[in-house]
Amino acid sequence: MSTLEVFDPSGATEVTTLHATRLPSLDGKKVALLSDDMWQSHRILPLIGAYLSARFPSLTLVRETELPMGNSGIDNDDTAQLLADMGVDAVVVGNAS
Amino acid sequence: MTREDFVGVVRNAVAGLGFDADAPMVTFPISPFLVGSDLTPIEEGCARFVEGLTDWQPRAEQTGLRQPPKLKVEANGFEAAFDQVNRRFLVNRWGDGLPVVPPTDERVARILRGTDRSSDEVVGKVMPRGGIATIETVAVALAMAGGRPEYLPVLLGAVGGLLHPGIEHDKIQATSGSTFPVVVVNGPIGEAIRLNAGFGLVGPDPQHPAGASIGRALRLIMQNVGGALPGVGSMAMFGGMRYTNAVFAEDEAGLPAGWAPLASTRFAMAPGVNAATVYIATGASNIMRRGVGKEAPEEEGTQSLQRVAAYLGSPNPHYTHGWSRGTPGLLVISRVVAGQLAGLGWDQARIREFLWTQSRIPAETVQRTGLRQWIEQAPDPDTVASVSLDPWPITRSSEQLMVCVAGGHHPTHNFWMQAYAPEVACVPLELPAGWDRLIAEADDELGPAGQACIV
Repeated sequence: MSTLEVFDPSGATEVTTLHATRLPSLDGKKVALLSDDMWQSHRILPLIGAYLSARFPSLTLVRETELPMGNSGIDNDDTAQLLADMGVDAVVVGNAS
Repeated sequence: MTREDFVGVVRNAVAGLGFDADAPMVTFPISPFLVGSDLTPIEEGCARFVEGLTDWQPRAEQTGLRQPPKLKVEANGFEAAFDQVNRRFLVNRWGDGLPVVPPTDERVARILRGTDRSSDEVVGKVMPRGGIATIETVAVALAMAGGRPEYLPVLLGAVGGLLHPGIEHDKIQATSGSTFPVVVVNGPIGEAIRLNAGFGLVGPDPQHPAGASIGRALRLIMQNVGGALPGVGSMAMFGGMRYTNAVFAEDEAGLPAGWAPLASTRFAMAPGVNAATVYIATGASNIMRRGVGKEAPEEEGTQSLQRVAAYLGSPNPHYTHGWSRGTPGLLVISRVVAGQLAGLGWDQARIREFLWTQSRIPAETVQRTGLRQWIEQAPDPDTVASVSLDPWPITRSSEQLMVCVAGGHHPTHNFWMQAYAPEVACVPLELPAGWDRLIAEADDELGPAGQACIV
């Protein structure tokens, strides 16, 4: 019998941040749409915004056009801080394709 | 919001940001994301966005380091155990289809003789998955790739270059473009470890086996630690030189008088310093260099460079990524060609300037091919401003265009390695204290290095 003990080549990973706790409801919440400005996000995100506004009349919507757009525009700490400063409770990000 | 077959990409991305490798996603087929699409699936799926924000539950409840355990295989004889390791590695998506050498403690320890750095030293996080590459992780990949300890300094330099922030390897790893790293080694280490600088430059070549192992190990790190699994973590539509990437040495002995190695021309490294220049390429093309043989030398030399310039002058949006600080690519010319050009009065700067000037793209072409929109959409403001230039140069200055001397000692072809490179990195290579002994052992085991012909 031969035994080979080998390394897992994928290396270690580290979870440094937990996902945010989910909201009990979107009623009265501020929800932002964040766009990479690709893959028809200019058509799709407004649809989602319209749906959220119709289903939750007390919801405040921050449209994607009010925020930085594009990969480099949304993939940075400044935009995250901007959302926090605006008091945004939740974000829908699109489109990855 | 993502398309259905992009789930792995998103999981990698959130893991790379330090979250557990999962996220609330609303997925759709690719069709709504295309130009002129029917958005009915989106309208019908809007309620799922609400679920993602209110009902979704993450798997991880605490933070912390996750060190994967070793794998133990028992079988009837070494050969069966070897086969079983290879099967397990493929099942776990850790292989590349070619046999891997089992990375046992003993083999990895042997590889680690190629560095004096501590095995648990962190080299960096490999994105998008965010796996942590330590010296040991790098040695494991080199062991799997059939490498030798004397290859480790170049591999560590290549990994360091890949992880240089300006390279933006997180985007390179995940892109649908068929990108791959190019590693050009300068200094005496290239010849010492049998890195190819001549015929069959990007391999395979049993006389110069180092590039294949080093490049393969780099790819395994990108895939296994970084999560760039085709169609899951990497959306590279076609791939490209991805079994071994492109790892070779400059033919420094073939540099004409007055010409300098790539690491010196681009990074002002002193000639003779061991260094790895790393950039990301999207392809490579063989461009016929010689004329039919009846031209005057000056005519042949100029026409050959005009052919290269015409090739470079295509309206390729990839140029926009490297326009400001990166490179449009690397032109590889053989020592014979370099010698001919030098004899005609060409030096490296003049070649770069000629190619840069002659490859400029008329504004009409920039407009007609849609390159204009790509320039205007570039994240770098200087690149955006360059849209007013007519003709449009493929990079800000001629110095960004790289030229190196390598390849078989023959005059027939030039080799253009197109870039997707916001920046080019150069890493000095560190040799361990026992370096000379490692090289002597390699000579004992493989025979004398060089262009031996045993036929």
